[in-house]
Amino acid sequence: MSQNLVELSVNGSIQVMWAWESDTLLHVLREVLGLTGTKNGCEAGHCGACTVWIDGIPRLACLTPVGSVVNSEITTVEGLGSWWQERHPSSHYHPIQRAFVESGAVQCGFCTPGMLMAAAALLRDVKFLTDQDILERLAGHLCRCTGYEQIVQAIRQAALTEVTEQ
Amino acid sequence: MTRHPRLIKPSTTQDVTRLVKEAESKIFGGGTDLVPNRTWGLDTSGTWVQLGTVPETTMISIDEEGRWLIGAAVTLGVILEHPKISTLYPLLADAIRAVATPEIRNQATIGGNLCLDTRCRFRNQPPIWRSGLKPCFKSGGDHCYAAPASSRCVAIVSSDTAPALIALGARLKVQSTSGFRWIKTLDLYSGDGDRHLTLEPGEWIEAIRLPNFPPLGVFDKWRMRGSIDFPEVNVAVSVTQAKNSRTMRIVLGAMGPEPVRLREAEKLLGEGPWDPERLMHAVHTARDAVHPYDNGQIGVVGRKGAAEHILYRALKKLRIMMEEKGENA
Amino acid sequence: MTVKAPDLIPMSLGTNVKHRIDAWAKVTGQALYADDIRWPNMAYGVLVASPYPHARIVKIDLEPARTRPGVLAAIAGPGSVAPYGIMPSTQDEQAMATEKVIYLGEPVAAIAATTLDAAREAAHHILCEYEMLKPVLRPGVEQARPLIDPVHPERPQKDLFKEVDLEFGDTAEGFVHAFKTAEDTFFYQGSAHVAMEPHSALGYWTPEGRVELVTATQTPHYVQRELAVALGIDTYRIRVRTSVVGGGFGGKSELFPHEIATVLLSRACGRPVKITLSREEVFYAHRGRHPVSMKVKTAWDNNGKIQAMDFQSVLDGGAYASYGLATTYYTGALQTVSYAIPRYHFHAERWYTNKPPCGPKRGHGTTQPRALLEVHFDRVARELGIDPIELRRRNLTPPYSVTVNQLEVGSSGLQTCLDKVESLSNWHARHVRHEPDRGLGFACSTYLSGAGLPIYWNSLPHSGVRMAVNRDGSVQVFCGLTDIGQGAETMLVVLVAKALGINADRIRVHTADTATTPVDLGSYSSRVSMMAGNAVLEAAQRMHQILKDSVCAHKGVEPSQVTQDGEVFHVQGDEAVPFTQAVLWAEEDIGPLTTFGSYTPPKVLGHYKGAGVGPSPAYSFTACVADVKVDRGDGRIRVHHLWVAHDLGTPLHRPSVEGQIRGGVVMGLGEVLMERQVFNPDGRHRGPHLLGYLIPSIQDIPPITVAVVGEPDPKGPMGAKEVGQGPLNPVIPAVINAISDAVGIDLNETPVTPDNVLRALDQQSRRQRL
Repeated sequence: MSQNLVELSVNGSIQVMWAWESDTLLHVLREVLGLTGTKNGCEAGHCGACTVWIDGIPRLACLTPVGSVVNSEITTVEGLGSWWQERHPSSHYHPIQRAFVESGAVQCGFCTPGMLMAAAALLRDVKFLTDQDILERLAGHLCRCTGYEQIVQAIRQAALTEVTEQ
Repeated sequence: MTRHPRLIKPSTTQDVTRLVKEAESKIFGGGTDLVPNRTWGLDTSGTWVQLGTVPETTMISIDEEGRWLIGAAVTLGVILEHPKISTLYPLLADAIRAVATPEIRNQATIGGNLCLDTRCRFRNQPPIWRSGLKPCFKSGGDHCYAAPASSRCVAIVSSDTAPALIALGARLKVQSTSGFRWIKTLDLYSGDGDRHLTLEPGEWIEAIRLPNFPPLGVFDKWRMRGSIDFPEVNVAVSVTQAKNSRTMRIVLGAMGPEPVRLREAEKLLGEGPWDPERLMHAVHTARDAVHPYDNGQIGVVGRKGAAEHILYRALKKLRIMMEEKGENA
Repeated sequence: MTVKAPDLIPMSLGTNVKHRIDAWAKVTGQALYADDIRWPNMAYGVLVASPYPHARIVKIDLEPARTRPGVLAAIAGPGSVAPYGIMPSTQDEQAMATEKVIYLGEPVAAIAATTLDAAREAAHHILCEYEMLKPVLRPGVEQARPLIDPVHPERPQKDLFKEVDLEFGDTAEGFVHAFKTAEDTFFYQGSAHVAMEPHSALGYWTPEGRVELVTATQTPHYVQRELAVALGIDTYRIRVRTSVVGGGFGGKSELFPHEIATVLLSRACGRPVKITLSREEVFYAHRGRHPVSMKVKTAWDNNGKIQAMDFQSVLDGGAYASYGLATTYYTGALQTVSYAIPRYHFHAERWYTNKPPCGPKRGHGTTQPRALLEVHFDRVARELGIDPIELRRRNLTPPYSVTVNQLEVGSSGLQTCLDKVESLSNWHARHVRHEPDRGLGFACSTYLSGAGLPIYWNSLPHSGVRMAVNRDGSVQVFCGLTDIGQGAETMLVVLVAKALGINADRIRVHTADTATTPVDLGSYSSRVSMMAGNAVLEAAQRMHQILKDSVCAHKGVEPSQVTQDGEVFHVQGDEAVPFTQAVLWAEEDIGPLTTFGSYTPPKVLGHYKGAGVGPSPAYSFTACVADVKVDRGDGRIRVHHLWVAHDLGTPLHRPSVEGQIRGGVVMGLGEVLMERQVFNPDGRHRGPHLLGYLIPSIQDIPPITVAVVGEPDPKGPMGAKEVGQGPLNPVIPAVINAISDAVGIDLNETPVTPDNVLRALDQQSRRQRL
């Protein structure tokens, strides 16, 4: 048994490394690639802090063996801004990032990267958001600081921004 | 103990069968159950056989008789987004929507949810917690902490889709070295929390077949929070109305190692009008049919109360649906 | 949540600090939490923990682990040269257990390796042999069963950690002449902080023999002091810095074994070492809310005025002291701050048990008695036939008064809080609503704006600030305070911007570093805005004076002829002077511009033993109404709405104020409905993970209407009082009172689980049948 040469596409660039195929994507992102924006809150799929996009779909990095996503495109919170910029060259930052800042949705910030990835996928997938959409799509993200209200407000605000920008 | 399991991606059903026949191998669907169990030291398998590259397991298709087939490796999220399945089988869609969280549904597969390992408050615990405890039945020992008098494991089947598929009358396509066979969903479960599936080494589920005329049905789930949690209890009820009779399926899940059909209640509600007394009577049959142990999140009193509560709620809802369809309830 | 809450939070401080200053770093993944930091040549450490709650250590053999691949160092206890602990009089901890383990999860060894995988793998090869003892799981068990081994057999009082008995006025007298007396008992279950970030620390024993520690802590100054005791080296050799901290809630406010272990492992292997706790280990490191059994007796006159109170509490302290001494006193300290109780007797005991140590959690020691007190007042109101809010109103402690236990109450908006939630919730219409099994419940509470005394006795300032203005026109603020996510750094910027009249983007804050910042005692007891706030204002005012003096000197005018408007000094009859010019002149006059500010709380009034717990420069007040529906079928409580009014004096930063209130309220909701740090009969945690210990998800939050009321407090910086902890307290009893209003059951325990509700409803129907 030995490690495998694993090739990953992360935030638009190809990364090649030696890893166990069963290593979690969370471990690889944080410990091998140094992309520490993705947080480790429980390592068991209970908190949502490690949410990243795998081929555009929000999933939990702590539940994903890196060997299962070798041909996939992975986007983390560090790459969220450039993902947006590719589509909207006027800004380095996704409107949801600005909205979190402006709505007071960030306190300790540890759940924030996961929340952002879930929220950005929601904004991309659903054109006219209802509050129900927000509650459903964030149902797997625990936050201990905010009581959630300002996070919901931020997503509402970003939804408006997105609509006006397009 | 191998610390790092191999992750193998076979491309044919034959390869899968060959691989899962090997000792210490496990099917890897989405990994949402297997990976955290690995992290906590509960999974010690040597090989993970990833289904995602086998075409038969990843498709949603229609067979020659017009029945929908869902590959075992189709994710719950994909099933929900399918243009037909949610509308044709709202009972299944409701059960899927009740599973865990959106992120987990994007990764977890329907086959994986059916085969979800049983859970217990005395086993599904992190490493330090378990290290000082003599192993229970499921961990290779000869004791049950949840039910010390029990001669076998009483860990809980926690699948939300299982009761729904049982109530729908779905069939499972089981592959093995000697070809494939179809089994009823309920027959997947052995009743022993340790080896909770009836599958033999080398057997695995390739696909789920849904009936082309699904019964009317309702799914409900009880958990402490509005999301994330496994069921403390779940229920699926369905009815097929014929001219002078109705066929009922009433299934309680998460009360023990296997989903339980409430045959007495099914018989009771298979005839006569569904007045409140009859519904209550049917609900109360659960008291003799299921005997939960204190190995869930809430206590036995709460789980029994919750079971009767959601069963009654589901039946009432089913009655309304029948009335809306012009059927006699 | 889907209901838009009305905008009831005033923004009274006109500054341009709209957003938190750390928000952008946190939304882009740039913010470095301790586990995100990697130092050159860093090793990874793990702790080896006891799998038993109570056992004698027979043997710990490190040798088999030392030869495993990648292993750099392995150490076993005690690790510390002397027992340490946060309270100087109750130092009872060692970094690693040596003779006995006294809670499951207690570290007994630590190991460092080149990778985390290697460290975890090698940890399995450390051989530990134990001789198991029966765990002590209830306070005072040893009294009933003398043969059981105490947790701390070496202590003269064995497991009785502390007994407190205080009486103010003649309580017996109050009961003799009472029109009515009442009594209630209550068990408040323990609960955990569950900050989303697990604890993490990086330690380095440098070649020069100094210690560098970067850690997720709320109290770098205390950690530095404790570490000096534990390591037996001079405090000045130790530098403690905080990383970005992912939430604290009291759970990161003292020195932890993993912090010591990083340093010891580093000394042993010559490299920096990082240890990050798993979620499981966090539940064992704990220091959360004490489980408390309580009993209250009250005497009332015929007008519904309280005459006397007898309050008893028994705290289940867990394995070590932690802040337990303070907690014990806090369970009796603030009853009198909300209600004018003329005669008061308080008795408390805290006991050691074989569970993770309990300590301070948001509301520190006041949450549990508040739950009982408010439930009790509701029941008394019912028996006296007085509206529950009216009963409180008749008993409020007046503003600017001294309580019977010698606490000096300053500004109080409690009356306004009551009025506010009463009208917002349409309280008086509640009995004409006809929805069955639905009810409203009320409760109010109070909390400190900072403890009046430090953890270790001294007469030094509680908070210090050094301020510099550079010739580039930037302002630097150095303060030991710690931003744990509550927005403490933003608060500094708000006050400096306001006090100097400058743009906020000129200001940079440097915090929580014992090597570069003046001491601030830390983020606990809701003290930061009050104390660091006042300190920074003093520094800013002095800086303002320097600048103004230089303007006067260079213009040759009197101070009365110079006024400031924003970043401009207006000089009577002369050209205006920009802020940046004033800075240059001042540096020309006196050299690099530096000022200091500090804050020391007012002297404590009381002279009795224990008088140091409870005093505060100012108290915040909160009132809450809960709208609740009880489902008789499954025993589920559905909270439909919460109205919360909080008096925090002047709100300094609106988004942070709103966030703190909402976060506190939701944490309270979790405590009353689902949270419990409980243990199986064998001493194992019921579920040390986030499926076993439930905290509210976004799906569990009712609409919450938040109102900020009150007037500027004379002692607070620009009138501000606390907001971080108080709003949690009334939620728990408000929900329980609402349940009582809805279905007529009186619950005496938290959390309100479906099992408990069903049992209570069952008992109720049996009683009704009789």
